[in-house]
Amino acid sequence: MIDEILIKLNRVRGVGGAVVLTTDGQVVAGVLRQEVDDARLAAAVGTLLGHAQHLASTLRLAGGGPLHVQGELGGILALPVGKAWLAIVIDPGANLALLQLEARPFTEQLAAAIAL
Amino acid sequence: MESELERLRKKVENFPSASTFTRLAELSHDAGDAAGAEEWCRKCLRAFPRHGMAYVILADLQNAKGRTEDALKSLAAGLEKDPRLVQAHRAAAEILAKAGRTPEAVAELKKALVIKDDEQVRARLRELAGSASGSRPASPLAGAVPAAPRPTVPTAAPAAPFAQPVTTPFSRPAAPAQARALDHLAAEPGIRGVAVSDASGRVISTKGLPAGQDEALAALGAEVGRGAAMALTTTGGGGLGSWSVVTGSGQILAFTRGGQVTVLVLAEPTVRPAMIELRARQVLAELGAA
Repeated sequence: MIDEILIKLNRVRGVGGAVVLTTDGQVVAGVLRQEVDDARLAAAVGTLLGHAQHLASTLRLAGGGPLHVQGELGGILALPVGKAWLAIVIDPGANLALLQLEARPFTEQLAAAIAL
Repeated sequence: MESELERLRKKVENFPSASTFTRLAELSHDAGDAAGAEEWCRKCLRAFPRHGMAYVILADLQNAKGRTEDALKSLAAGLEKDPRLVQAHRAAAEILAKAGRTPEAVAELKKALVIKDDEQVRARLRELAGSASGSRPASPLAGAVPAAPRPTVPTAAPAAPFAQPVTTPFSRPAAPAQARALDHLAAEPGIRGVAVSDASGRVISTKGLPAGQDEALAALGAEVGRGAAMALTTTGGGGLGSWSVVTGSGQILAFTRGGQVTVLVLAEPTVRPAMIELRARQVLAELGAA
Protein backbone atom coordinates (compact mmCIF):
# COMPACT_ATOMS: atom_id res chain seq x y z
CA MET A 1 0.00 0.00 0.00
CA ILE A 2 2.82 2.41 0.88
CA ASP A 3 4.55 1.53 -2.40
CA GLU A 4 1.37 2.32 -4.35
CA ILE A 5 1.12 5.75 -2.72
CA LEU A 6 4.78 6.44 -3.52
CA ILE A 7 4.29 5.38 -7.14
CA LYS A 8 1.40 7.86 -7.46
CA LEU A 9 3.48 10.56 -5.77
CA ASN A 10 6.23 9.99 -8.33
CA ARG A 11 3.82 11.11 -11.06
CA VAL A 12 3.65 14.59 -9.56
CA ARG A 13 5.65 17.09 -11.60
CA GLY A 14 8.97 17.88 -9.97
CA VAL A 15 9.17 14.63 -8.00
CA GLY A 16 12.23 12.56 -8.88
CA GLY A 17 11.61 9.78 -6.37
CA ALA A 18 10.53 9.26 -2.78
CA VAL A 19 11.41 7.17 0.23
CA VAL A 20 9.64 6.64 3.56
CA LEU A 21 12.07 6.30 6.44
CA THR A 22 12.10 5.97 10.18
CA THR A 23 13.56 8.75 12.33
CA ASP A 24 16.77 6.71 12.69
CA GLY A 25 17.22 6.50 8.92
CA GLN A 26 15.90 3.02 8.13
CA VAL A 27 14.01 2.51 4.85
CA VAL A 28 10.32 1.67 5.18
CA ALA A 29 9.61 1.84 1.43
CA GLY A 30 11.11 3.63 -1.52
CA VAL A 31 10.52 4.35 -5.21
CA LEU A 32 13.63 6.00 -6.58
CA ARG A 33 15.65 6.34 -9.75
CA GLN A 34 18.05 3.50 -10.47
CA GLU A 35 21.11 5.56 -9.60
CA VAL A 36 19.80 6.59 -6.17
CA ASP A 37 20.34 4.09 -3.38
CA ASP A 38 17.33 4.22 -1.03
CA ALA A 39 19.30 2.94 1.97
CA ARG A 40 22.01 5.59 1.53
CA LEU A 41 19.46 8.34 1.01
CA ALA A 42 17.42 7.27 4.05
CA ALA A 43 20.54 7.08 6.22
CA ALA A 44 21.70 10.53 5.10
CA VAL A 45 18.26 12.09 5.59
CA GLY A 46 17.91 10.37 8.99
CA THR A 47 21.23 11.90 10.12
CA LEU A 48 20.21 15.28 8.72
CA LEU A 49 16.88 15.16 10.56
CA GLY A 50 18.75 14.39 13.78
CA HIS A 51 20.96 17.46 13.36
CA ALA A 52 17.99 19.64 12.40
CA GLN A 53 15.95 18.51 15.41
CA HIS A 54 18.92 19.16 17.71
CA LEU A 55 19.24 22.68 16.28
CA ALA A 56 15.49 23.34 16.58
CA SER A 57 15.30 22.12 20.17
CA THR A 58 18.41 24.14 21.15
CA LEU A 59 16.67 27.26 19.80
CA ARG A 60 13.49 26.19 21.61
CA LEU A 61 11.48 25.74 18.42
CA ALA A 62 8.76 23.21 19.12
CA GLY A 63 7.32 20.68 16.70
CA GLY A 64 9.10 19.01 13.80
CA GLY A 65 8.00 20.30 10.42
CA PRO A 66 9.24 20.17 6.85
CA LEU A 67 12.94 20.19 6.09
CA HIS A 68 14.09 21.35 2.69
CA VAL A 69 17.54 21.08 1.16
CA GLN A 70 18.30 22.71 -2.19
CA GLY A 71 21.33 21.96 -4.32
CA GLU A 72 22.48 23.19 -7.70
CA LEU A 73 21.01 20.16 -9.49
CA GLY A 74 17.99 19.30 -7.38
CA GLY A 75 16.84 19.06 -3.81
CA ILE A 76 15.27 17.01 -1.06
CA LEU A 77 12.08 17.75 0.84
CA ALA A 78 11.49 15.80 4.05
CA LEU A 79 7.96 15.81 5.45
CA PRO A 80 6.70 14.15 8.63
CA VAL A 81 4.25 11.29 8.03
CA GLY A 82 3.02 10.09 11.41
CA LYS A 83 6.00 8.67 13.29
CA ALA A 84 8.01 8.32 10.08
CA TRP A 85 9.31 10.74 7.45
CA LEU A 86 8.80 11.03 3.73
CA ALA A 87 11.85 12.22 1.77
CA ILE A 88 11.03 13.48 -1.72
CA VAL A 89 13.81 13.90 -4.28
CA ILE A 90 13.08 17.15 -6.13
CA ASP A 91 13.97 17.68 -9.77
CA PRO A 92 15.90 20.84 -10.64
CA GLY A 93 13.62 23.77 -11.34
CA ALA A 94 10.64 22.27 -9.52
CA ASN A 95 8.15 24.65 -7.94
CA LEU A 96 8.63 23.91 -4.25
CA ALA A 97 5.49 25.65 -3.02
CA LEU A 98 3.33 23.80 -5.53
CA LEU A 99 5.07 20.53 -4.81
CA GLN A 100 4.45 20.92 -1.07
CA LEU A 101 0.80 21.58 -1.79
CA GLU A 102 0.50 18.56 -4.09
CA ALA A 103 2.39 16.32 -1.66
CA ARG A 104 -0.01 17.02 1.21
CA PRO A 105 -2.67 14.41 0.32
CA PHE A 106 0.08 11.83 -0.12
CA THR A 107 1.55 12.54 3.32
CA GLU A 108 -1.92 12.14 4.81
CA GLN A 109 -2.39 8.81 3.02
CA LEU A 110 1.05 7.63 4.08
CA ALA A 111 0.47 8.64 7.71
CA ALA A 112 -2.77 6.64 7.68
CA ALA A 113 -1.09 3.66 6.02
CA ILE A 114 1.81 3.69 8.51
CA ALA A 115 -0.59 3.90 11.45
CA LEU A 116 -2.38 0.71 10.34
CA MET B 1 22.13 -1.63 -23.54
CA GLU B 2 18.97 -2.51 -25.45
CA SER B 3 17.39 -3.99 -22.32
CA GLU B 4 18.36 -0.92 -20.32
CA LEU B 5 16.80 1.28 -23.00
CA GLU B 6 13.65 -0.81 -22.94
CA ARG B 7 13.49 -0.71 -19.14
CA LEU B 8 13.85 3.07 -19.10
CA ARG B 9 11.27 3.44 -21.89
CA LYS B 10 8.74 1.58 -19.74
CA LYS B 11 9.79 3.54 -16.66
CA VAL B 12 9.37 6.90 -18.33
CA GLU B 13 5.86 5.95 -19.43
CA ASN B 14 4.85 5.19 -15.85
CA PHE B 15 7.04 7.67 -13.95
CA PRO B 16 8.14 10.43 -16.28
CA SER B 17 11.12 12.20 -14.78
CA ALA B 18 13.62 14.58 -16.33
CA SER B 19 16.59 12.42 -15.37
CA THR B 20 15.07 9.33 -17.02
CA PHE B 21 14.47 11.26 -20.24
CA THR B 22 18.05 12.54 -20.33
CA ARG B 23 19.42 9.08 -19.49
CA LEU B 24 17.40 7.69 -22.42
CA ALA B 25 18.88 10.38 -24.66
CA GLU B 26 22.41 9.47 -23.56
CA LEU B 27 21.82 5.74 -24.05
CA SER B 28 20.28 6.30 -27.51
CA HIS B 29 23.26 8.42 -28.47
CA ASP B 30 25.68 5.75 -27.21
CA ALA B 31 23.76 3.20 -29.30
CA GLY B 32 24.34 5.35 -32.41
CA ASP B 33 20.75 6.60 -32.60
CA ALA B 34 21.36 10.37 -32.76
CA ALA B 35 17.83 11.14 -34.01
CA GLY B 36 16.32 9.09 -31.19
CA ALA B 37 18.55 10.84 -28.66
CA GLU B 38 17.42 14.25 -29.91
CA GLU B 39 13.80 13.16 -29.75
CA TRP B 40 14.20 12.08 -26.08
CA CYS B 41 15.69 15.49 -25.31
CA ARG B 42 12.76 17.23 -26.95
CA LYS B 43 10.27 15.04 -25.06
CA CYS B 44 12.09 15.90 -21.85
CA LEU B 45 11.87 19.60 -22.61
CA ARG B 46 8.17 19.34 -23.41
CA ALA B 47 7.51 17.66 -20.07
CA PHE B 48 10.15 19.52 -18.02
CA PRO B 49 10.88 22.79 -19.81
CA ARG B 50 13.09 24.03 -16.98
CA HIS B 51 15.43 21.01 -16.96
CA GLY B 52 18.64 22.67 -18.08
CA MET B 53 20.72 19.54 -18.66
CA ALA B 54 18.37 18.46 -21.47
CA TYR B 55 19.33 21.64 -23.34
CA VAL B 56 23.01 20.85 -22.84
CA ILE B 57 22.63 17.28 -24.15
CA LEU B 58 20.52 18.53 -27.06
CA ALA B 59 23.19 21.10 -27.90
CA ASP B 60 25.86 18.41 -27.79
CA LEU B 61 23.87 16.30 -30.27
CA GLN B 62 23.31 19.29 -32.57
CA ASN B 63 26.97 20.28 -32.42
CA ALA B 64 28.03 16.73 -33.27
CA LYS B 65 25.97 17.04 -36.46
CA GLY B 66 27.68 20.33 -37.30
CA ARG B 67 24.61 22.41 -36.40
CA THR B 68 26.66 24.91 -34.43
CA GLU B 69 24.15 27.75 -34.39
CA ASP B 70 21.32 25.43 -33.33
CA ALA B 71 23.54 24.14 -30.53
CA LEU B 72 24.29 27.68 -29.33
CA LYS B 73 20.58 28.52 -29.46
CA SER B 74 19.77 25.45 -27.35
CA LEU B 75 22.39 26.46 -24.79
CA ALA B 76 21.04 30.02 -24.70
CA ALA B 77 17.54 28.62 -24.14
CA GLY B 78 18.86 26.45 -21.31
CA LEU B 79 20.54 29.45 -19.70
CA GLU B 80 17.36 31.45 -20.01
CA LYS B 81 15.54 28.79 -17.99
CA ASP B 82 18.41 28.21 -15.57
CA PRO B 83 20.97 31.02 -15.47
CA ARG B 84 23.19 28.99 -13.14
CA LEU B 85 23.61 26.16 -15.63
CA VAL B 86 27.39 26.11 -15.57
CA GLN B 87 27.55 23.16 -18.01
CA ALA B 88 25.83 25.32 -20.65
CA HIS B 89 28.46 28.05 -20.34
CA ARG B 90 31.25 25.47 -20.61
CA ALA B 91 29.66 23.77 -23.62
CA ALA B 92 29.08 27.13 -25.31
CA ALA B 93 32.71 28.08 -24.68
CA GLU B 94 33.96 24.91 -26.40
CA ILE B 95 31.70 25.39 -29.41
CA LEU B 96 32.72 29.05 -29.73
CA ALA B 97 36.41 28.26 -29.30
CA LYS B 98 36.22 25.62 -32.01
CA ALA B 99 34.54 28.15 -34.28
CA GLY B 100 37.42 30.58 -33.67
CA ARG B 101 35.23 32.93 -31.64
CA THR B 102 37.74 33.06 -28.80
CA PRO B 103 36.65 36.29 -27.05
CA GLU B 104 33.08 34.96 -26.81
CA ALA B 105 34.40 31.60 -25.56
CA VAL B 106 36.45 33.39 -22.91
CA ALA B 107 33.38 35.37 -21.84
CA GLU B 108 31.41 32.12 -21.41
CA LEU B 109 34.15 30.57 -19.29
CA LYS B 110 34.25 33.66 -17.10
CA LYS B 111 30.51 33.34 -16.55
CA ALA B 112 31.01 29.68 -15.62
CA LEU B 113 33.67 30.68 -13.08
CA VAL B 114 31.41 33.26 -11.49
CA ILE B 115 28.84 30.53 -10.89
CA LYS B 116 31.28 27.92 -9.68
CA ASP B 117 35.03 27.94 -9.31
CA ASP B 118 36.64 25.04 -11.12
CA GLU B 119 40.33 24.48 -11.79
CA GLN B 120 39.61 22.83 -15.16
CA VAL B 121 37.66 25.88 -16.29
CA ARG B 122 40.41 28.19 -15.07
CA ALA B 123 43.01 26.13 -16.93
CA ARG B 124 40.95 26.26 -20.12
CA LEU B 125 40.46 29.98 -19.65
CA ARG B 126 44.22 30.50 -19.32
CA GLU B 127 44.71 28.44 -22.47
CA LEU B 128 42.15 30.41 -24.47
CA ALA B 129 43.25 33.78 -23.09
CA GLY B 130 46.82 32.85 -23.96
CA SER B 131 45.92 31.94 -27.53
CA ALA B 132 43.91 35.15 -27.87
CA SER B 133 46.78 37.27 -26.57
CA GLY B 134 49.13 35.37 -28.94
CA SER B 135 47.16 36.56 -31.92
CA ARG B 136 46.49 39.98 -30.45
CA PRO B 137 49.29 41.07 -28.14
CA ALA B 138 47.30 43.91 -26.64
CA SER B 139 44.40 41.67 -25.60
CA PRO B 140 42.95 42.73 -22.29
CA LEU B 141 41.58 39.24 -21.61
CA ALA B 142 44.46 37.89 -19.55
CA GLY B 143 44.05 40.51 -16.89
CA ALA B 144 40.31 40.23 -16.74
CA VAL B 145 39.92 36.67 -15.48
CA PRO B 146 37.67 36.78 -12.43
CA ALA B 147 39.09 35.83 -9.08
CA ALA B 148 38.12 32.49 -7.59
CA PRO B 149 34.78 32.92 -5.83
CA ARG B 150 35.97 31.57 -2.49
CA PRO B 151 37.08 34.55 -0.47
CA THR B 152 36.62 32.85 2.86
CA VAL B 153 39.63 32.27 5.03
CA PRO B 154 43.19 32.92 3.93
CA THR B 155 44.64 29.78 2.41
CA ALA B 156 48.17 28.45 2.34
CA ALA B 157 47.70 27.14 -1.21
CA PRO B 158 49.53 29.13 -3.87
CA ALA B 159 47.32 31.56 -5.72
CA ALA B 160 46.37 30.73 -9.28
CA PRO B 161 48.10 33.02 -11.81
CA PHE B 162 44.86 34.85 -12.54
CA ALA B 163 43.61 35.06 -9.00
CA GLN B 164 43.21 38.50 -7.53
CA PRO B 165 44.63 39.02 -4.05
CA VAL B 166 42.14 37.66 -1.56
CA THR B 167 41.02 40.32 0.84
CA THR B 168 38.64 38.71 3.24
CA PRO B 169 36.77 40.67 5.84
CA PHE B 170 35.63 37.59 7.67
CA SER B 171 38.02 37.73 10.58
CA ARG B 172 37.38 41.42 11.08
CA PRO B 173 34.29 43.43 11.97
CA ALA B 174 31.83 43.74 9.09
CA ALA B 175 32.53 46.54 6.61
CA PRO B 176 29.81 49.22 6.27
CA ALA B 177 28.24 47.69 3.14
CA GLN B 178 28.13 44.24 4.73
CA ALA B 179 26.72 45.64 7.96
CA ARG B 180 24.04 47.47 5.96
CA ALA B 181 23.05 44.29 4.09
CA LEU B 182 22.82 42.44 7.39
CA ASP B 183 20.77 45.29 8.90
CA HIS B 184 18.34 45.16 5.97
CA LEU B 185 17.90 41.42 6.34
CA ALA B 186 17.44 41.61 10.11
CA ALA B 187 14.93 44.46 9.68
CA GLU B 188 12.60 42.39 7.46
CA PRO B 189 9.22 41.76 9.12
CA GLY B 190 9.16 38.45 10.98
CA ILE B 191 12.93 38.05 11.21
CA ARG B 192 14.07 37.34 14.76
CA GLY B 193 17.78 37.41 14.09
CA VAL B 194 20.56 36.65 11.63
CA ALA B 195 24.00 35.10 11.91
CA VAL B 196 26.73 34.74 9.31
CA SER B 197 29.05 31.82 9.89
CA ASP B 198 32.13 30.30 8.28
CA ALA B 199 32.54 26.67 7.18
CA SER B 200 33.59 25.63 10.68
CA GLY B 201 30.43 27.05 12.24
CA ARG B 202 32.10 30.10 13.79
CA VAL B 203 30.16 33.35 13.95
CA ILE B 204 31.47 35.98 11.54
CA SER B 205 28.75 38.51 12.12
CA THR B 206 25.39 38.58 13.87
CA LYS B 207 22.34 40.79 14.26
CA GLY B 208 19.33 40.57 16.54
CA LEU B 209 20.17 37.28 18.23
CA PRO B 210 20.82 37.06 21.98
CA ALA B 211 24.38 36.22 23.06
CA GLY B 212 24.88 32.48 22.95
CA GLN B 213 21.99 31.86 20.57
CA ASP B 214 24.02 33.17 17.62
CA GLU B 215 26.86 30.77 18.43
CA ALA B 216 24.46 27.83 18.79
CA LEU B 217 22.78 28.71 15.50
CA ALA B 218 26.13 28.97 13.69
CA ALA B 219 27.68 25.83 15.19
CA LEU B 220 24.66 23.56 14.92
CA GLY B 221 23.74 25.11 11.57
CA ALA B 222 27.13 24.02 10.23
CA GLU B 223 26.30 20.45 11.31
CA VAL B 224 22.97 20.62 9.48
CA GLY B 225 24.75 22.06 6.43
CA ARG B 226 27.21 19.17 6.34
CA GLY B 227 24.34 16.68 6.70
CA ALA B 228 22.40 18.44 3.94
CA ALA B 229 25.40 18.36 1.59
CA MET B 230 25.85 14.65 2.28
CA ALA B 231 22.17 13.93 1.61
CA LEU B 232 22.38 15.84 -1.68
CA THR B 233 25.38 13.72 -2.68
CA THR B 234 23.22 10.58 -2.51
CA THR B 235 20.75 12.02 -5.02
CA GLY B 236 23.21 13.79 -7.35
CA GLY B 237 21.74 17.12 -6.27
CA GLY B 238 25.02 19.02 -6.68
CA GLY B 239 26.50 21.56 -4.30
CA LEU B 240 24.42 22.85 -1.41
CA GLY B 241 22.66 26.17 -1.97
CA SER B 242 20.22 26.39 0.91
CA TRP B 243 18.38 24.48 3.60
CA SER B 244 15.45 25.24 5.85
CA VAL B 245 13.74 23.74 8.86
CA VAL B 246 10.19 24.84 9.57
CA THR B 247 8.50 24.19 12.91
CA GLY B 248 5.23 25.37 14.42
CA SER B 249 6.98 28.10 16.41
CA GLY B 250 9.63 29.31 14.00
CA GLN B 251 11.83 28.52 11.05
CA ILE B 252 15.54 28.42 10.41
CA LEU B 253 16.77 29.15 6.91
CA ALA B 254 20.34 28.95 5.67
CA PHE B 255 21.80 30.19 2.39
CA THR B 256 25.30 29.40 1.33
CA ARG B 257 27.66 29.46 -1.59
CA GLY B 258 30.07 26.56 -1.66
CA GLY B 259 29.59 25.98 2.06
CA GLN B 260 32.29 28.53 2.91
CA VAL B 261 30.03 31.28 4.20
CA THR B 262 26.48 30.73 5.36
CA VAL B 263 23.78 33.23 6.21
CA LEU B 264 21.51 31.74 8.88
CA VAL B 265 18.14 33.32 9.58
CA LEU B 266 15.82 32.68 12.50
CA ALA B 267 12.31 33.76 11.54
CA GLU B 268 8.63 33.51 12.41
CA PRO B 269 6.98 30.44 10.87
CA THR B 270 4.77 32.60 8.64
CA VAL B 271 7.57 34.47 6.85
CA ARG B 272 7.91 33.68 3.15
CA PRO B 273 11.27 32.00 2.46
CA ALA B 274 11.58 33.62 -0.98
CA MET B 275 11.67 37.10 0.56
CA ILE B 276 14.32 36.02 3.06
CA GLU B 277 16.38 34.43 0.32
CA LEU B 278 16.55 37.66 -1.67
CA ARG B 279 17.94 39.57 1.30
CA ALA B 280 20.22 36.73 2.40
CA ARG B 281 21.75 36.49 -1.07
CA GLN B 282 22.41 40.22 -0.89
CA VAL B 283 24.35 39.64 2.32
CA LEU B 284 26.33 36.85 0.63
CA ALA B 285 27.03 39.14 -2.31
CA GLU B 286 28.22 41.91 -0.02
CA LEU B 287 30.47 39.44 1.74
CA GLY B 288 31.96 38.57 -1.62
CA ALA B 289 30.75 35.00 -1.44
CA ALA B 290 28.38 35.17 -4.37
